[in-house]
Amino acid sequence: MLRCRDVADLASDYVNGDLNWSRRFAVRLHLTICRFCRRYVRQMRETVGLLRGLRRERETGHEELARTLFRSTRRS
Amino acid sequence: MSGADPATDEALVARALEGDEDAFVALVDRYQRSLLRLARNYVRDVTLAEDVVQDTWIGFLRGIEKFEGRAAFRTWLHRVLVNRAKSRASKEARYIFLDPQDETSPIADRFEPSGFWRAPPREWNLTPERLLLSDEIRAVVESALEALPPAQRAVVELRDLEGLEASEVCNVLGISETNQRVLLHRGRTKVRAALAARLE
Repeated sequence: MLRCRDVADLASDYVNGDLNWSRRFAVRLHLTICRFCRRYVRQMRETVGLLRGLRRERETGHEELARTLFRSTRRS
Repeated sequence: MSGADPATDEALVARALEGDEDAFVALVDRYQRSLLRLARNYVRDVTLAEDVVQDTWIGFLRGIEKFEGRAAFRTWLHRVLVNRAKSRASKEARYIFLDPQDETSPIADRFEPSGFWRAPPREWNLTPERLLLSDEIRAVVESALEALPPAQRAVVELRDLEGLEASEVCNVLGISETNQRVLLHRGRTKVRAALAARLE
């Protein structure tokens, strides 16, 4: 039986779906009986979601730099 | 890939190397920010980091480093950046990329010796509006990222912000699968803790 500390240590891998079947099952089992760990794993999932939310405010505005670089390598 | 710009990296690369300037601009827009973030894990000085990124693009355009399609372009590009950043960093004696393997778990003190919660997590006051990355939450996440040791920050940024696969991150940073997992876990755990401090 996993302890809460073990679940917290596996939370990041669990959220990724990176655990093998038996580990994953062990975490699920623990989560059915432990509301604190359920909360922790949910918060880890939300954390990853918020990090991913930073992902795609893709900047533009590099055009001038890009064109300068491109032309400088063409010339030489 | 974003819906607005469906061209694949590989298509843009081929066009750029054939002399299509707009294709190159599209590649730079796609990766400049990510490369700069990554470079700053090796050289803290922004101007130096910008130089490293610029050299990476020039190397690509001149074919100094050749992309041969053995890995995804983004993996290859980030790896070239890392190699250039490392060599620049050691030249400048500002090599700061440390591997904090001996660090204990960031939440070790939340548990009893028995392994049960001593200080269980509390509920977050996270309304749907807040989940949509309000400026407030964004600032918390950004500053938590900034506070991470460089190795953890690099892994979290590449995995979660840039969306690279675990194997790509190992390839880019030259670290083992186990290290990658540990660094990701520690980095995310600290970001979660920073959010908890604001939201509990």
